Amino acid sequence: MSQELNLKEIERKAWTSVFSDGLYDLWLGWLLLQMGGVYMLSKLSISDPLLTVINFGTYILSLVLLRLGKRLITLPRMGRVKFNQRRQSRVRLVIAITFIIVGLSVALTLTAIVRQKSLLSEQLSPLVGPLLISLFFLIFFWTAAYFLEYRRLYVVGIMYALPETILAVFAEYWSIGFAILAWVIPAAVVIGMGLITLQRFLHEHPAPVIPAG
Amino acid sequence: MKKAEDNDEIKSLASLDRMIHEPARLMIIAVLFVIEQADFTFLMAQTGLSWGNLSSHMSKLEEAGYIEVEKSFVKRRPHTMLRLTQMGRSSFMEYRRSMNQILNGLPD
Repeated sequence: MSQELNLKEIERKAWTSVFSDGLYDLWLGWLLLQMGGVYMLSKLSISDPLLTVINFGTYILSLVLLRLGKRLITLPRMGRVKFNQRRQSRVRLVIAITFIIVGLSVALTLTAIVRQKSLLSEQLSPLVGPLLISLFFLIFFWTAAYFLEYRRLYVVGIMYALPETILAVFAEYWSIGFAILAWVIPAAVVIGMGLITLQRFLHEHPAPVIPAG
Repeated sequence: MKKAEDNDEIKSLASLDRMIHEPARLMIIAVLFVIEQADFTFLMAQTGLSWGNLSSHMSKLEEAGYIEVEKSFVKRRPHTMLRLTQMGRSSFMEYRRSMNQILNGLPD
């Protein structure tokens, strides 16, 4: 029985080591900061096409940096691994959920653009929209955290849910400074978590010495 | 008669697979058992073994037919992945069964 448990623990440790570099946390923190940046720029009357270019450009840049980080920091220290079918099917499930959610969001946004008005009834409280967005982030990140056993995603989900809710609840106190804080503080929490994890990873996994040839 | 039975139980310790029973190789096989395949660096990170140590145990396991080496190119660089063979997998399961039997039979 104890042998059974130990093997499960060995497998779990091997799996969670994939997230032990903190790079995904840093990337998610960046994306949260980017969302805040786009929100601010939209309030500063920046044109939509320019906003789209900035948004898309910074997103691509974040992906390039994530890939570079994985290649230059993680791979030399952690190597490559292919996990068992159970893990692979869980990853596929999370990818499928991501596609469904992103597809649904795009479809709803396009519908709103075509109809030229919000999909939510104007009689509803202005809190409903932001709360729905926050709920959506919570469900998405917590589902991913559960299936991927990536526990820091529970915190990431909360941080993603906070800005919209805070800005909606305290709408009467809205100012540019307040809005910046509502985005920057949650993003800083996620980035801080990523930096601490990365620092620990680099300390625990110095680049291995591999003899030439 | 009782003494002979006791001796048989003790003798079963000697029948343990020595290729797996060595601690470093046991770690390597346990990791490869729970994943599908991995490269040297991943196994070094998981087991804490040095390159030389790992390499030497890998050669023995490969000679015994317990692991297989898959060589390929990733972005034009040679890359070696290791996996447990069917024989290695069933030998490890048999080893676990034997160890469980022996350890469960010990008095508290």
